[in-house]
Amino acid sequence: MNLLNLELNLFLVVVALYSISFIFYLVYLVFPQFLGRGRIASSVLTLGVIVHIMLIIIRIIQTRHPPFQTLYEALSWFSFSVVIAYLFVEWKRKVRLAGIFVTAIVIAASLYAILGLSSVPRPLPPALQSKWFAWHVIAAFSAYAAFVVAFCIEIAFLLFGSRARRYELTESAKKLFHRTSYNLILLGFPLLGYGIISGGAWAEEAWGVYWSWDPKETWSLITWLVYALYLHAKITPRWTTWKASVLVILGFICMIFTFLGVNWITQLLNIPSLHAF
Amino acid sequence: MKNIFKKLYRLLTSTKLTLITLFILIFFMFLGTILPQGGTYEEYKKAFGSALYSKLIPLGILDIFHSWYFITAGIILYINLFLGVLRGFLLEKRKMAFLKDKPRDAREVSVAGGFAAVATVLKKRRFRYRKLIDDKNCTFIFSARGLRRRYVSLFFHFFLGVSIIGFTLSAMTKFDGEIDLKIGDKEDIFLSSKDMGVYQIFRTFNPDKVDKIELELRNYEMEYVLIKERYFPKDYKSTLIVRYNGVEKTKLVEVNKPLRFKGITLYQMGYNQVFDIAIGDTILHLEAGRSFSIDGIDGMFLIRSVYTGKLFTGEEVVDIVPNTELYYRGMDRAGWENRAKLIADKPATVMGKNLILRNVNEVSGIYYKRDDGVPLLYISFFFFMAGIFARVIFPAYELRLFYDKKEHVAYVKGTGSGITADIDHQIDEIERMLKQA
Repeated sequence: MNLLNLELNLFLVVVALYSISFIFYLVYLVFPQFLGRGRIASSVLTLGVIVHIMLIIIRIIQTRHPPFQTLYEALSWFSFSVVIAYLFVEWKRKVRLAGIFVTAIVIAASLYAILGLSSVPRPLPPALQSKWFAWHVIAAFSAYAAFVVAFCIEIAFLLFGSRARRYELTESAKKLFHRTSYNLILLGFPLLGYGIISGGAWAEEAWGVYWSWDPKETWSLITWLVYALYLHAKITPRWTTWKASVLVILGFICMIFTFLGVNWITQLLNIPSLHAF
Repeated sequence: MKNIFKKLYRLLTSTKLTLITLFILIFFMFLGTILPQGGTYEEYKKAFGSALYSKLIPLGILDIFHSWYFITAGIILYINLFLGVLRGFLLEKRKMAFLKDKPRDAREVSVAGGFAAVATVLKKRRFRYRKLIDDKNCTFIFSARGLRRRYVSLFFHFFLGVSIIGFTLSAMTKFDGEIDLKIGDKEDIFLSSKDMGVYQIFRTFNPDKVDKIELELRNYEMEYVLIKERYFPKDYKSTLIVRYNGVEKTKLVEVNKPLRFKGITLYQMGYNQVFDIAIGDTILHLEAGRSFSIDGIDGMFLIRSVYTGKLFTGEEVVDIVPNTELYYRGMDRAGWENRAKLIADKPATVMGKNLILRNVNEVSGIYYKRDDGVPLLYISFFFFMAGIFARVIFPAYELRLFYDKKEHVAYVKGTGSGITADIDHQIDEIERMLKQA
């Protein structure tokens, strides 16, 4: 078996584990007292992430560069980052209600990578052979992971926050939902900012143009501004309620569009983009 | 008049204005990504038609990112953010006047040890006094721990402003150009240009006083890897000789490794090839990427790229014999079809004609630029990011404490900011220590 086949098989195992975890989170939502109150779902998800680490190591061995050059690699890294961020939050806050949404998103991303995209490793083109490559992408994807988990927490709160007793949520735990999503965005915001600025510095070094209003650049700035809007809105008392949740959801939509939608729109409208892949 | 200034000040410092200008900017950026920007008249005419194009042009939405309203919205946002942060300082001073009130929804803690215990506990918890008012019946304390977040906010918003100066400097000094060089070619590059914003505005450009550097391409290397029978560029680099006032420097320039010299930066932008195709006695002097015709054959031919240089195959490095694919497109203008593989100096028969690929020369595409705003942009964004990360990572607490001297009860309320801040834990600890004191 060559490394690529091994990697693809491992990816299928990862998706299977994430799917089992999704089912267990669903069971937890319907029957909270079963399956160790969601602990088994978390354990399966942790197992999935361990296999995912192996998968990433195999990819690095094959390509000999950081594993986020192609969209296939980027989606795999995206799923991995999101799960890591979620497991950390779950471990810190002991709240599992967002698990079902997180696993649904990573399953969708992983399946898109496996079924819809080529997994053949490619050499790094000269423009990507830069010291900025790894840090720019890691910062951007860490921000994405924080935003995805914040979004899932907001959605979980909007849907299940009123049934606090069912999930043994105390008042302080309910307060934690907003606090957690706020903290995640607070962390993701400078990371995305660093991603944008490092991208500009990289483009300046590679092509001599630090900002070209490329659709990817513009949409990442839009996403950053939406989250800036959210962070500034949180200072205003009237904006701390559901309006803030709406901004988190809007920010998530913009983020997904930055990551995937821009590729689609540049192809559809035939707009030249340095980031289309 | 005073009222107008007051209203203007309130408007310029309001969070509402921040939200509105952010929404406006986001909306324009959205438009900028769905409407093609900076295209040619022909492209727009094809996309929208002449009538719609003539209506869209005065609105500026076909160059939205340079339109007056987009730039104005950006400037208003910055003024609003900066004044808003400054206003925060003034409000904080005013907030101190309300310290005498018992904070609402505060934690009530009985203190056996009197005010001395309160002072000791706050000191132990590393809270420093920002304000202390001692009355006959009670003592009010406003204290803080950790980062001075308002100073940090002012710090990074200030550097956002510095970046605007950087962008302005960029607009005033930037000029650029592209040159194609074959090995041995020489070209002059001027150190300033009439295209620079500063000369465009003040019209002080004097061509007689312009300094120049001389550029010579000494060597050019092209490297490929082969994947599924296709060549992928691995690297391409130029060895340039730069001469200025009798001083000569030799430097390798490649993608991501530009050469900076006398305020000019030289980038390895791209590459191309020039070559000859011999057809009997006729010799065609051609350039890759440009279509051409051959006498006696209807339709057009195209050579996209000629592969030369070195090929990296695992551990081995081999010299590539220059070769390429010849594409043909018939009169029906259907797609390009691969007709033949041409190898240097070897004849190939294409549609009844004998073709020989000869004299393949690589052309190095060099982009040069002067932009004096870039260093300032680097500095401003470095400090901007440092400020934001500090604000986000390091915790900052503010605590209001009202101590009732008669009842020996303290009312504690506070706020925390930063991702690691936990104000409830801080108040729990203060409560525990006060009870023990």
